[in-house]
Amino acid sequence: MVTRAFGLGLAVSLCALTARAAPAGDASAPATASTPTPAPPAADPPAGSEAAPSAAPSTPAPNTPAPAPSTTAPGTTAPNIPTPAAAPGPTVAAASSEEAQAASSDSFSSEETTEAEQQHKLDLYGFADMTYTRLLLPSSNPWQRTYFPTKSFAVGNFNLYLSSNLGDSWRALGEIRFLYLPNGATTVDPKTGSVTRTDTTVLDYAGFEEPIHWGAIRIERVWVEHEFSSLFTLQAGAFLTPYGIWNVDHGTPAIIGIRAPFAVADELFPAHQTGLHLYGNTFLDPFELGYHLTLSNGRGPVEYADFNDDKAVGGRLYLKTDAFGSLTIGGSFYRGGYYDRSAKYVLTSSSGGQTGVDQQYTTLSKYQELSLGADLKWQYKRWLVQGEAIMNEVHYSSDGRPRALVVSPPLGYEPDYRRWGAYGLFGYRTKFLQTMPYFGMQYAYAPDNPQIPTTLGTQLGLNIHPTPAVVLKLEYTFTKFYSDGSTGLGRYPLRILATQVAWAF
Amino acid sequence: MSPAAQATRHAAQIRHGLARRACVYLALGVIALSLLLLPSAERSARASDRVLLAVVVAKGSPLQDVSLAELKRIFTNEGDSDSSGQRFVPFNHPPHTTDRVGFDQVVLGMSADDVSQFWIERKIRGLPGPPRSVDSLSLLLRLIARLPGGIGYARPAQLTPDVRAVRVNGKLPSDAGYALSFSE
Repeated sequence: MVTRAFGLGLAVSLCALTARAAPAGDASAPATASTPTPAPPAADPPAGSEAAPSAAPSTPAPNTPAPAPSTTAPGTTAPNIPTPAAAPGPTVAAASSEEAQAASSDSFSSEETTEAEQQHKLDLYGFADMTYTRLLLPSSNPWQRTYFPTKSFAVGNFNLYLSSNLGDSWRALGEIRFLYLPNGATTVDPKTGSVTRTDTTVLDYAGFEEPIHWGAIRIERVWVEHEFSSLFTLQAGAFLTPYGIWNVDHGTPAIIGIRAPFAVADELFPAHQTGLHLYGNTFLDPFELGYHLTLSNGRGPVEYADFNDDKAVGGRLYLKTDAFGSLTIGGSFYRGGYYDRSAKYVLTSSSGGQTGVDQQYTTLSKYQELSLGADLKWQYKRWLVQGEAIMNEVHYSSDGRPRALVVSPPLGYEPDYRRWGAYGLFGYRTKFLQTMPYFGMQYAYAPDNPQIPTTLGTQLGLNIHPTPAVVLKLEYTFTKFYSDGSTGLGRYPLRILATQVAWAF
Repeated sequence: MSPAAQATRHAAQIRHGLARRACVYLALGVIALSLLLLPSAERSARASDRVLLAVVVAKGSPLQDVSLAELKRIFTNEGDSDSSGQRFVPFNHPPHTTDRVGFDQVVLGMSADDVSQFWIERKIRGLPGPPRSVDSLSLLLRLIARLPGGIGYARPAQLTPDVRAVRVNGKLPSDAGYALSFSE
């Protein structure tokens, strides 16, 4: 009995030892294969598999016989049958279907289709989000009636990207946003204060004439670019202004918080431009130095028209290094003019007595502006620090100063103004569901605008990635105003609780 | 039974009992020792399970040496070219395969989920998507061999005569301290 127990114990121990030591002897990775015994692979193993030819040299000699090419087409059944040795390990088993799908769209399995797939494949993808916002204020607070939309589920973005590699270093990208707007959009009559809501209800002829609301499409960007070298890529079309961090991150799955900081949302830099965009980078290890230069119509009432042929110029210079985490420091500028006008046709007569028509313009608003920005983003291990500081100043021309929007008389004209904004965000990405608790602060200062009091906002939130393509956000914002402002709303601090789900597809 | 015989039998029983106890203690000792030794045995087994990945280019490529930082730039499509000005065309293994996961971990410093998120965010910014991944290893190696600027990775024993390994941070896979290695 005792002997049996002893024997059993020894056997178990030895078995355990043998079992645990076995992989060492069976290690398939021929890490230091020193015996150059070329052995062509019997079958084509899937890329990334552990199945390797038994002992091929790491750097085959020129006279080494080449592996016999597979007679079956690459990527067909035979070469891809996973052998037990090639079976994926636990990491593989844990594969998320999202990336598998994403990857399959970026993979090819036949040499013949490489060229075509690389050059002319249309890549369709996008993102969307839904937000629920609630004000943590008493119902008597005026913000409850002026802040919009609250207590509602709102699909905010539904953006579709169309990207294509056109070959020979040409690439095209389009991004369109589908909108419920203009349905529900409101306009205010400054004279009477009355609010008018746009109603796009129509009867659907495709059904039983049930009422539906039509929406709109907004072109976020559409451009084509050619890369001459890594130093020079020229983009033509409508593009996002390459400044700072937030405006380029752009999509809700890629940005940390729910709402853009005031400085970004108020467009101290124009968010979009139409024109030319030259950019490039060079690497001076451990640094990357990059630039962007833009020439565009500038800010204006119409995206595709520059009424006074006053082109805007802008640029960004950045330095990036991975020497201690990933650190990017950048500076941006923009200088351009804005011109809005009304027009009417008038009859003209030439010296010969012939009549004709012409257009007569009346300037509504005309100014020159300068924007400057600085940004910093530092990702160290699981920490994130990012911030931007932006300044924008506007000088109206003598004939282009518009009437000021005032709540009560006396009426006046818009002054030249300078405004500042800055924000900072700190976060830590935990391993649990890739959850990032974050804290943000922002500041807005517009001393020349009587409507907007100086503002300090703080945010506390969670950014959770249950999968790489889905983001859940929960954010509490407390905004304090340092004066009443001409609207009087600055008397009441703003407390907002918002939650958002954003997803990429 | 005589007292002497009884004493002899008693002594034999004691000896037998001692022997039994000794066997039990010995068995327990062996088990304890084996349990103590297991981790180191496991460690040594795992140490030999390290996978080396060779960075592979076409045989005629001018590229001789590449740093891990350059590899990161190449495989994140941040734009890099060789000494002749030829833009690199990186080819990847399919996601979640052992070598892809290991490569991403060592070179990009990212887990599989981090990599997915990285590319989603880049594409939302309007930047180019990930390098092409190739399902079949032999096709991957043939593409690297034929396409100018082609670059990829494979285990040293998987290399074909059309491609060759380049040094990573000055070392070949057969050199001690080679950087592009990971535990399976």
